[in-house]
Amino acid sequence: MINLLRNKLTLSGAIIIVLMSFFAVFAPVICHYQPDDIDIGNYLLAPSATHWLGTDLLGRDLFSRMVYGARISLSVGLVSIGIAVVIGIFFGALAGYYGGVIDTLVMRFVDIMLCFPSIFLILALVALLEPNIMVIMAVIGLTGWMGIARLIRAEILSLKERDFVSAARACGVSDITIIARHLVPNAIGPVIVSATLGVAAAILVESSLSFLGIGVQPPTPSWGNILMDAKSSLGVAWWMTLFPGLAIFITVLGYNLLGEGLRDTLMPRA
Amino acid sequence: MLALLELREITKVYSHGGNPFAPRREAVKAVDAVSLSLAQGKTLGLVGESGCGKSTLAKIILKLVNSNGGTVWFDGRDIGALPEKEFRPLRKEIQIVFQDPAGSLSPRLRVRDIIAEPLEAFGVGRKERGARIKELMAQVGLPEEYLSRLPLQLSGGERQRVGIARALATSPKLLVLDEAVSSLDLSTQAQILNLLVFLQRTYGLTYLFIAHNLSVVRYISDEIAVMYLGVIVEKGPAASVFDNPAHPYTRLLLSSIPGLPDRRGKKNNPVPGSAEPVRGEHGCCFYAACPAAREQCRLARPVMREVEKEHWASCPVGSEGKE
Repeated sequence: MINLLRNKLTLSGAIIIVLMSFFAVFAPVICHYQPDDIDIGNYLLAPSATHWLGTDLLGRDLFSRMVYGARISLSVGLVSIGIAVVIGIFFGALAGYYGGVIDTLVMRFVDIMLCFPSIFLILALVALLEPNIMVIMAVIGLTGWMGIARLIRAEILSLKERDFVSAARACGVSDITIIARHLVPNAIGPVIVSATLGVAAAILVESSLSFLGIGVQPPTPSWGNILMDAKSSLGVAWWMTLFPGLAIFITVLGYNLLGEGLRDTLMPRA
Repeated sequence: MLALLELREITKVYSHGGNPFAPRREAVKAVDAVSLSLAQGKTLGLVGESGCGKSTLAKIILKLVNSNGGTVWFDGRDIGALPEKEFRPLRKEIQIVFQDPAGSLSPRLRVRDIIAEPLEAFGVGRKERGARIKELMAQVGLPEEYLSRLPLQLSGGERQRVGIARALATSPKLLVLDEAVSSLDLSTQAQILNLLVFLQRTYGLTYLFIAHNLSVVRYISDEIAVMYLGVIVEKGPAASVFDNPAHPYTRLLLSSIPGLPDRRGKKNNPVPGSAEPVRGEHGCCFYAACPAAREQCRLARPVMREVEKEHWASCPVGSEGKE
C-alpha cells in the first residue's frame, strides 16, 4: 500500500479520487445553494465571489450543480463496475474451474456480448427502458463484465492446477469453498486493476448518455447533462462547458492513474 | 499381513480429450498396469525418474484423477469405483503431502486457516478445532505463535511442517508423501524425515513415500517399488532390492547415487542407448536404454518373476544380465 502511493502519478490519482469523493459525500455542507434553486434574475452570471463557477440559463449555481453532479457520476461509476465485477467473477470462475462444456458455453456467450459495440447496446437498452439512474447503472454493469470474466477465468485456469487446490480437494473441501477461498482471492489482483480503469470508463459512458439526453434526466444534475445544457450558450458562457468538462477529465484521469499504479504494484510482471 | 492399500492393474492414459480442434497428440500412458500393495503401518518407497508416473499414481489413490483401468482397494473397499459422494468420508483416511510446500499452501491463508480447513470440511466444531490445531502444531514441532502467519513468512521446512499438520488433521490412516522432502535442503530433509518416522511410530501411520532420492527412500522405507515409464519394474523388501537389484534400471539408479561407490567396486555407468525414453507398444519399457537388452526384450513384454522371497522384478535377463 505504501509502495503503491510512493509513485507520484498514482498518488495524484488517489488524491483526485479522494477529493472528488469528499465533494460528493459532503455536498450539502459545501454548497451555499441548492442545485435546483432557480433564480431567473441571475442567469448566466460569470464566476464571481457569490457564484464561484457562475450560473446557468436558469440562474442555478453551477458549483452546486457540479458538486451534486459528482454524486451521480461517481456513484454510477462505482455501482455499475460493482455489478460488472460480481457478474464477471461469477461467470469467469464458473468457466475456469469447471472447464469443458460450461467453459465453452460461458466463453462463447462472452464473445457474443463483446461483438456488440457496447455504446450502441447501451443506447438501445436505455431507449427501451425508462432512463433513470438505476437503469443506467444496471445497463453499464451488464455490458461491462466480459473483460473481468476473461481475466478471472484465465487466472483460475492456472491456479486450479496448483497443489494447494489439490490439497483442498483431497481434504474434502467443496467446490464452492475452493473457488471462494482459494481461487478468487488469488485471482483478484488483475480484476482490481481492471475495475479501477473500468470506473473511469463507466463515468465517461454515463456522461455521454446524459449528454445525449438519455442518461440522468434533468433537473437531477450530472456532469453530462450540465454539458448538454451548456451547448446552447457555448458562445456566451464558457464556464458552463469548461468546468463540467474539466471535472470529467480530471476524475477519469484520477481513476486511470490509480489503475495503472495498481497494475504496476499488483502485477509486477505485466 | 493385511494390506491397507492394494492397487491392481492401475492404468492411466492421457489422451487429447476427443476435442476435434485440438492438435493431435499421441496418447501417453502415464501409469501402465501398476499393481502394488501396502501393509498397515509400513512404508512403501516408490522411486523413479521425473515424469515416470509416480505423482499420477498418487493422484489416482487420492481420487484427484480418475484411472482408466484397474482397481484401488483401501481398507477392504474398492474406492476406485466409489462416486465422489460416497468416497468423501474416506478422504479423512487418505491424505497427501506435496513436494513444493510453497505451492501446496494457499498464499493468502494464515497457518491457522490452512490447518483448520480439513477439520472444517468434516464439520468439526469451532472449539474442538482450536484445540486440535494446537495439538497438531505441537506434533509437527511448530510454535503456536506461527498460527497467525502467512506461508510466505515461513521457511521451507516450516511450510512443509504446516503441510504435514494439515494432512494429519483428520487422523488419516494412509499418508501419501509425494516428494515431500525433495525440495528441502539436506539438514531440513533430515529433520522432516525424522518427524515422519516419529509420527509413524506414534500413530501407526502407513506411508506411500514417493521420491527420486534413493538414500532418503532407503532410510524410511520397508518396501521399495521402482517405476520406469509408468511400469513397476521391480519391487520388494527395501534391503533385498538395495542389496540385490535384479532389474537393470534399478541397478542403474543405484549406481547413480552420488558418493556411494558401487558395491562391486565398479564405476558409475552412464545411461547407454537412447537418452529420450522410448515407449514401445510390445516390448520391455526399458529396452531402448537397457545395457543388457536382447532381441526378446523388444518383442515381448517381460513378466514379473520372483527373484528372492517377496522380491519381484520384470526382467527375463535377470541376474545373468549383470556385467
